[in-house]
Amino acid sequence: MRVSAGLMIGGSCVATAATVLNAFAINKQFYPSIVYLSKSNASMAVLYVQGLVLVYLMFQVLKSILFGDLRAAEAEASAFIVLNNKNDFQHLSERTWHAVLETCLAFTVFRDDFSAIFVMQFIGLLFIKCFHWLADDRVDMMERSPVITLRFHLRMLVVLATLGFADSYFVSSAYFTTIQRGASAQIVFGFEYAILLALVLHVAIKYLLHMHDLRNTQSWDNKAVYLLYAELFINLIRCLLYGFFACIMLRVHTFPLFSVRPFYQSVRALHKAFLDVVLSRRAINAMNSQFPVVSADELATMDATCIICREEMTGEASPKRLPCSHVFHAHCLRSWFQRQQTCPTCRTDIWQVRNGGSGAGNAADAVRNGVGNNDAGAQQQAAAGVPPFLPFLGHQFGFPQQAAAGAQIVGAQAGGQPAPFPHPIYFAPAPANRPEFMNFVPPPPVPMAGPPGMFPMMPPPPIPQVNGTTDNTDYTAPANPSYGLLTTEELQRMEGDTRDAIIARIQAMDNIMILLESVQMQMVQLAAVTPLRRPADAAAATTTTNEVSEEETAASGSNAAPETNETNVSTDTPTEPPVRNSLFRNNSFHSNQPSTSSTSTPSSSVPPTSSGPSTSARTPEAEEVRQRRLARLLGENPNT
Amino acid sequence: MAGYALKRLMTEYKELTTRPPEGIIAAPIDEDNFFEWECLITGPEETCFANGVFPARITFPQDYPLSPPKMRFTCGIFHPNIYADGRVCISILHAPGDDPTGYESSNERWSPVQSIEKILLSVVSMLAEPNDESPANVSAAKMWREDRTQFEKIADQLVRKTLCLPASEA
Repeated sequence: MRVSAGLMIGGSCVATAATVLNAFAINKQFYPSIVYLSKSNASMAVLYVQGLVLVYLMFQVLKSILFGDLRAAEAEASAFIVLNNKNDFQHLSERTWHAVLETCLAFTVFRDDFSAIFVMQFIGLLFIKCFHWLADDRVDMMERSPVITLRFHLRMLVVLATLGFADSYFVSSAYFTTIQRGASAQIVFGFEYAILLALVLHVAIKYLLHMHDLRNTQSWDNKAVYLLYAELFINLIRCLLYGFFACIMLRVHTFPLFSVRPFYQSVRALHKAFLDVVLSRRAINAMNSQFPVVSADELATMDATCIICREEMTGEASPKRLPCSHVFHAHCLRSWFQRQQTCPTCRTDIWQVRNGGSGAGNAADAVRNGVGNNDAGAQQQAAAGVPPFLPFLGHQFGFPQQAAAGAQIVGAQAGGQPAPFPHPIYFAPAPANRPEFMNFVPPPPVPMAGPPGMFPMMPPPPIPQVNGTTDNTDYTAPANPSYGLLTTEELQRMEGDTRDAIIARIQAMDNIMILLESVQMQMVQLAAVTPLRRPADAAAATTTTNEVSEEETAASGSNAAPETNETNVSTDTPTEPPVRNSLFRNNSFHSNQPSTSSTSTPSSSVPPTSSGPSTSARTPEAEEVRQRRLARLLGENPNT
Repeated sequence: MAGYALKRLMTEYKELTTRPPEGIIAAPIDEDNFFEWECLITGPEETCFANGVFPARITFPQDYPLSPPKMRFTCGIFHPNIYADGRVCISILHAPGDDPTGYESSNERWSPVQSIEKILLSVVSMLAEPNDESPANVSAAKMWREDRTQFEKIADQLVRKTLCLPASEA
């Protein structure tokens, strides 16, 4: 490419010299030679080419003064601009191509002005545009380069000043020309330079921001935000300029068709910049206010590499934990949220999870409210408490972690971790494997057992006391779920990617979901009645208890009919998580068929702290809530 | 304070040099500019690209782990998922926003979790198993489907070229 450029320059010079010498040889005198040259089309063509070559040389000289050696990508781009050679730096070549095409289109409107001067101006504009793009790229390089020399700063400042000056000069000259001589192609030129001026401004802002960042020794979190705002601002200016230009052109000539594309582009860019600002602000606010900071102690227990920057996280960097329990640097998350509001690792949408989380939060609020005033409001909350929780539960990726979050909410034991699997009630798939569950002994009732018909208060939800097995004591440690309770076969069943293994895993997940939902229901019910009733006697099971037990069964899942549950799950397993809510309902309804004899079983099993809570008397409110929920369940499942 | 991109690229460079994955070499072309890398990929075994050593260039954006790099083979490789000019078209190199082929789910798109090593490994597996559902090079995809022997012949010529062996007569 170099060679061909050199050849072209040399050839052009030789041709020019030959033409001029020829003219002088023929005419012998200066004036006739000039006339001869200007009359002959061939000589003029040669001279034009020579002019182009001179401009190119000037461009090269300026470039080497202002930018020094271009990096590979830049060199390719500028080479393209001059020689129109094939190159692979797509972005810039496309940019140049569009610029040329658009400007050409623009000048069709003013075709009367077409002249040699005009061509020169056009080429000059192109070159100046090139310099702008180079300056833009160069400023971006500040972020990449390990060392920034003083020379770089000097050059950058000179370039910015020169370009700014040139742009304003051309804008003003175009303005005065238009004022004096009426509309001409100068409008287009002036407008192009105005756009370039905006670009210079953008580059200058970026330069200042990068400068500031470079001077600081520690990272400057807000830089990206400022960059976003700068982009928004510049895009706004560009949009205004295009709109203004379209107005002028409409008044002077016709509608400027050629400016539709750039206008549309700048509007889209503005829209995008605006969205970016809004979304990232929301995400960053959420991050600052809602996502918990991970302490140094916690970091020590896990893999503390931030997956975004691949560096170790330390306590003072205050890493943040997303709702899906992945941990990142706050500043890394911040810059990622400007692009995407998902977890980088598992791509869980943080909004989705967060809304789910706040749904749970609402439920918790409902609980509190319900405790405060247990009237119609509490009932409503109770009725509405479950649905927002379900999508939260059923989320595909975040599920186990969310379950963990849910566990935090309810203060559960190892919620979401595999530990609850062996829970006799919920561990539907393995009754055969774990015979000890059959001789499950209901623990003694706790004094604070719930009000009639409701679940008792029990801070850590079901911790089964299995006969003769000592390893169950592990359950009390929420942080470290015990995997020891899973037999080797059970674990093996869940291994691999065969259909059976996946089914086993989904069943395990289902069990967790059931567990969580039962806890949720308990909370809601508790909220509805707690202040009214004191714990009642645990013995008397009235006829209403049957209903209660049914409901409890519905809430707590498949305890009474694990086999039914299992078959059901295995037939439905290929369905995806969104369906699994309904799947769950089905499950609960299958298990909702047990006879009244199951009264004591579910209640004792769900909250093992109270065997068979009785309902000697119940509040009308609680009754109504219960009826409503039953009606809903029945309405949703016509099978029963 | 230089950009995070630079730091992360340095980290990855260190990792790649200390624990190089099998069959892959990658390094910045120039240590002054960590944003242009050159890499060599050996063709996967038991495919028509086996034994070949294919040079490629990776260009990183300045916001690197947040935006995907671009990768381009410089050896004129003929493959359904590589454009005629050498650009690699695999889903993990596409940012979740843009969708050149129209049906890539966002799950297999770029995210900061990916790394140079992972990209190169997926390129290797792409060499082994072309995806002719969304071809970047339509004629290559067509040949891959319909005239496998010819495709293998072209691949073999390329392998020989990259190894500086004389072209086979066949």
